[in-house]
Amino acid sequence: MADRTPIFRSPVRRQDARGRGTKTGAPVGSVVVEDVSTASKVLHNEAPAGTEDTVAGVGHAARLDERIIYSVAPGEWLELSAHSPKPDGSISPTAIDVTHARALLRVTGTDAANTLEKICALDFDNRFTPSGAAARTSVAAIAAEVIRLDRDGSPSYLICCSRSYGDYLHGAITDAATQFAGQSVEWDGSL
Amino acid sequence: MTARLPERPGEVIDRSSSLPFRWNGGDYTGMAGDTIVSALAASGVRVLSRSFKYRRPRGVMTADFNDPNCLFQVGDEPNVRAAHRLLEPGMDTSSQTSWPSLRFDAKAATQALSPFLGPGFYYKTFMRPRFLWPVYQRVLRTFAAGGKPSPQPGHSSPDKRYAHPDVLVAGGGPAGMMAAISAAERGARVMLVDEQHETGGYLRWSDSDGRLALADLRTRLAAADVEVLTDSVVFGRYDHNWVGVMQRSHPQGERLIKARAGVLVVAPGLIERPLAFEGNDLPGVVLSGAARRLLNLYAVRPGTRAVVLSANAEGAAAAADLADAGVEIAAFVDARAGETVVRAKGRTGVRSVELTGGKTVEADLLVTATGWTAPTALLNMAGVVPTFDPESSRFVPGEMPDDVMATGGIVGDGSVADLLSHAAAVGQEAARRSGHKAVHKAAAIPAAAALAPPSKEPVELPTLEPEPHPPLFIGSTSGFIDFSEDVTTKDITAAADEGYRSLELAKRYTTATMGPTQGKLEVINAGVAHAIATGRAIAGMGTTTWRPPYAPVSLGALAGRMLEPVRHSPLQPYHERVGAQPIVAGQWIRPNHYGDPAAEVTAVRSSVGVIDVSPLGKIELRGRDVPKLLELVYTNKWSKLAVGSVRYGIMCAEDGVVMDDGVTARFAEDRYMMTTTSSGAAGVYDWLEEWLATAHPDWDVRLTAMTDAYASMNVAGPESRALLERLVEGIELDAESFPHMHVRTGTVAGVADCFLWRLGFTGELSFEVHVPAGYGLHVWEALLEQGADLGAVPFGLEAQRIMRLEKGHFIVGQDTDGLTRAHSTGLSTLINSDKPDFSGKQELEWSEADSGTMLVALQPEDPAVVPPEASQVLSGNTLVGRITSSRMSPTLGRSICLAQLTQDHAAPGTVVTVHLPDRTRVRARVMEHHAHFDPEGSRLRG
Repeated sequence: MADRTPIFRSPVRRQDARGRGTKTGAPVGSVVVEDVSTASKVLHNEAPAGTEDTVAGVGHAARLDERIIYSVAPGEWLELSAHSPKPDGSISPTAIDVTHARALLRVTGTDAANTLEKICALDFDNRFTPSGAAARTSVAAIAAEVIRLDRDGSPSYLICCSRSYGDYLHGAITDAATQFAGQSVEWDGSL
Repeated sequence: MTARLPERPGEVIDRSSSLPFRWNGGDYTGMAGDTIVSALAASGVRVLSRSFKYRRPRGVMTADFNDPNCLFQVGDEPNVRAAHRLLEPGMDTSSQTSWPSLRFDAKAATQALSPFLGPGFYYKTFMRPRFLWPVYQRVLRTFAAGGKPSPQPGHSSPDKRYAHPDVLVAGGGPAGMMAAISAAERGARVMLVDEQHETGGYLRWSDSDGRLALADLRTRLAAADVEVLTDSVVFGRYDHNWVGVMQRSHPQGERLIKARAGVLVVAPGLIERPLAFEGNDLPGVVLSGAARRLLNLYAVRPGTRAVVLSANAEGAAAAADLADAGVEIAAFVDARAGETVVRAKGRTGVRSVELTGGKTVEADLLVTATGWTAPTALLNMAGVVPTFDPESSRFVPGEMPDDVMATGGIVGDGSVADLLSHAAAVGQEAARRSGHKAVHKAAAIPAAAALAPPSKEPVELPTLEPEPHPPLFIGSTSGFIDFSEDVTTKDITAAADEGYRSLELAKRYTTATMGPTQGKLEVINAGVAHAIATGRAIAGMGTTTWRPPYAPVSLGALAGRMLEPVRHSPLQPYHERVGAQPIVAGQWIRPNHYGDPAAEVTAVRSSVGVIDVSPLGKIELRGRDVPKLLELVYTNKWSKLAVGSVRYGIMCAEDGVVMDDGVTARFAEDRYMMTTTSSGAAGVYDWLEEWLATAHPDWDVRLTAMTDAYASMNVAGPESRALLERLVEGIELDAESFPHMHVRTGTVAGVADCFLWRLGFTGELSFEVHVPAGYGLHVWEALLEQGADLGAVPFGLEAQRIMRLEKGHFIVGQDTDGLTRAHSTGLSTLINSDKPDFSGKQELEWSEADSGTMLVALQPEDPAVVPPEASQVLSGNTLVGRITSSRMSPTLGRSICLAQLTQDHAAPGTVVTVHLPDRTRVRARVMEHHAHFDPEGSRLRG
C-alpha cells in the first residue's frame, strides 16, 4: 500500500451556495465566515476541571486559555480546542470525543448578527445574547448551537451542528452574508 | 397636454432628473420621485384602467397604494400598485383588464346589460345546461381582472429576517414618528414601519406649518435610535405579538420580517372615504387627499375647473391648494350646510356635476372630502372590537390588550400638537410596558445581565377624541361602493332584498370588500348601504372581518429563504467526482448507483464491493444499566451479549408494531454502540431518551448521537477479507478470530479508532468499517485503490437493495407498515416472551396467534415479470395482500419479491395472483424462506 498519511477533511467543501470558494487574505465585507470544523470537540457530562466558576451552567460560554467551554443543556459541556483532543493520549473517562461528529463555523464582524438573524430566530440584542451566551436553537432550519464569544471587540458567533449538515449550513450562512459583502475565509487556527 | 406645475414647496420630484418610460406602447417622460401614475397624470393621461365587470373607464382616485384604479402591468410583473410604485427609467407599463385597448374596450357593452348582471348573476346564470360550463368558463376567464405573470421561474430566493423590537410602530405619520421617538428616547429598541416612501404621513402634502412640524420630527427621528422601514407594511398581527412586516424597500427585493414585538403601536392614520353617488367612479372624481398629494408632492394639476364637495377641513384645504395651483374652483359644496352632489356626468371623464337643487356645474374635476375610515385591521387581529361612533361617523378602537396600543387619527382628531402629545405619551407607555417584558426575558436567559425594571406606574395618556363629522356615506343616487369589484348601492340593496341580511353573507354574495382594496375604501359604505337596506340603524351595523394580510404580499416573499437542509456523507466528494447517480433519502443525498446497479451486484457476488452506509444511525450508550435499556427496547434477549459481540434486534412500539431494527455491539462492560435505520435514527434516539427520562430516570445510561461521527462503509463480497487484510492493523480477520456478528477495533489505512463488525445486508461475507468521519474519505479511497486488482468497485443503494432482497432481508417502512407487528415479519424467533418486559410485549402475546398479514418471499411463475411494488395480490378475485419489494435479480436471472399476505395465504407453496398495472395478471408462488439466494447463509459466514 502506498504510504499515505491520513488527511482530516472538513465537512465544508469551501464553496458557498453560489459556487464561490473560500478566500484568503484580508476580508472586504463587514462579516466573515470561517470553517472551524477541524477544531477538537469533546463532550463532557460534568464541568471540565477548572471551569466550574467560569461556565456557570446552561446557556453560558467562556474562553479559557486556548479552549472554549460552553453548555447548552443540563449535564452537557462541550470543550473546543484548536489542538488535538488527546494531547496526552487520553481524555476523561466521562468524556466523548465528538470532533468528527460536529461541524463548527464562526461568523464574525459588525454585521454578524444581521447575517444570522436572516436564518435564526434568536434575539441577538446585546441584552439577551451577550458575549458569553450559548443556546441550542434552529439555524437555517437545522438544530444547531450558537455561542457568542466576541473577538478583539468584534461580535463573533460559533455555530456548531451535526457534521453532515456542515456544508449546507456553511452555504446558508455565506448566502445570508451576501448583503454585507460577507465572505468565507480560511480559519486562522485560533479560537 | 402637460399638467406639471411650476415648483411647489414640499414636492418630492427631482426636476433635474427626467425618466423616460413607456405606457401602453407610447413614450412618456416623468421625473425622479414620481410614481408611475403621477408621471402619467403630469402627462395629461386621465383614463388609466377599465373596471372589472362593466369595463368603465377609471382614473386616479386616491393617488396612493390603495387606489383601486391604478393596478398596472410593469414589465413581467402584474398588479403593480402604480399610484405607489416609484417611476424607474425605461419602465414598460401598461393597463390591465381592457380589450382590445384602453381607449375602446369592447366589453364595455356589458354596461348596457347591467340591469341583468346584478349580484350573483353568474351563480344563477351559468348553472345550466351543465354541458355548456366549459364554454362559460372560457368566456368568463377573459373577464378576469389582473395582469399576466411571467411564465419564467421567479426571481432568486427572497430574503427573510427575524426581529425582536421592544416597540414596533405601524405607521410613519406624525403620531407614529412621535411614538417611535418617545419610546426610543426611553431606551426601547424601536422599529418604525411606514407604507409610504417617506415618513411624515399627511404632513408631507399639507401646508407650511405642517412641513415645518415634519422637518422637526424628522430631525428628532434621525437622532433617535429607531430603525425606520419605509415602503414597508405591517401586514398582520398574530398571537403573542408576532407581527408580520413586508419590507418592500429592501435592496434584495421584497423581504419578510418576522418580528416578535414587545408592544405594537398601531398608528396608521385614517383612510379617506369616498361617497357613493352616480358617476362617482368617473375619471376626474378624486378624493381630497389625492388632489393634495398630486398637487403638493408631485406638482401635478389634477384638473382645470373643479367642484369641491367638503364636509371637513381637508376639503377646504384641498380647495385652497387647487386655487393656489391655478385650478378654477367652479363650486365649493359645503356638506356641513346640507349641500351635496347628486351625480357626476361624463363618458370618459367628468364633464359636469349635478348638485342638490338641480344645479349643474361644468367641471373636469370633482374633489370629495366626505369622511374617514379608521383602518382598524391590526387592532381587530389583536382581538380588539372597534365600535362605530355615530358622532364622528367612523369606527373607534375598543379595549386593547396590554401589548397593543394605538395613537394618531385612528384614536381621535386634533391639532398636530394634540396628536404629538398623545403619541409621545403612548410611546413612553409602550417603552414602559415593553421594558417589563424585557426584564422578564433577560431573567430567563442565563447569560443575560439583569435589567433595571421600569416604573410600575402607567403613563397617563391625554385625551384624543374623534371630532364630529356629518354622516356622509350613500348619496341620493346609486353609485359605486366597491370600485375594485364594480359593486353598487343597488347591488347591496338587491342582496338584502334576496335575503342576505347578514353583512358577512351579503359581502360574499356581492363580493363587496373582496377586491384588491380589501375593504379599506368601501367597508363603511357597504355596511351602511346594507344597514339601510335591511332597515337597521347605521350605528348598529356590522363590519366584515379583517384578516391578514392587511396589504397584498407576494407568495415568494412569504416563503422567504429557500432553506432545504440536506445531509452529506463524508464520502460525498468521491460520489460527486465519479458522477454517482444521487438519490434523496430523507435529508440525505446518497449514491443510488454508479452507472450499472446490476453490474455492481455481480461484482459484489463475485469479488468485492464497497458501499457508503454513513447515514446508518449510530447511538453510543454508556453506563452500567445499558443492558436493562436494551432488554426494554428490543424484543430479544440482550443481557448476556458478550464484549466484542454484535446482535441484531427489532424494536416495537407498545402496540407491537415494528418501529425500527438494527444491530448493537458491546465494546466494553459499560459501552455499547447501537445502529438504527438511517431514517429512524432521530426517532429511536428520542424514544430512548423518553424511556430514560420518564420511566427510568434512575438508570445509569448516557446516550450520545454518533451518526455523524463515523464514516461507515460496508466491504462486501468473497474478496472482502483479502482486501481488508491489506489495510487493517491490529485485528485478525480470519473467520475464527473474527466470526460473524462480532466487533473489533483497530486501525484502517493508518486511521486509528476505527471499529469493524462482521455483518452485512447483502448476504455476502461482509465487514462494516466505521472510521472517524474526518478520515472517511481517506479510508474509502484507500479501499478502492488497494482493491483495484481484486476487482473492487463502489456500489450504491440500488445494488444493495437488490442483494438484500435476494437475501430476503426486509426494510422497516418498506416491507412493513404502520400495522405490521413483529410476528408478521416472520422473525418470531426474535421475540422472547420469557423476558419480564419489553416494549410491545403484551400486545405481541395477545396477537401471536393472529397478527394479520405475514411477510413472505414470492416468486412470479413468469421469471421475466417484475410486479411493481404495491401491486395487489389476489386469490381468485379476493384481495389477500400486496407486493412490498420487487426487483429483477441479476444473480438468479429472475424476478423476486417480498409480499405481505394474509395468514391463510402465507404457507409455502401457496399460489396467488398478482394484479399488474396493465390489468394483466401473473401467478406467483410463496417460497419456503424469505431468502431467494443462499438461504443457509454459508456465504455470509465464510
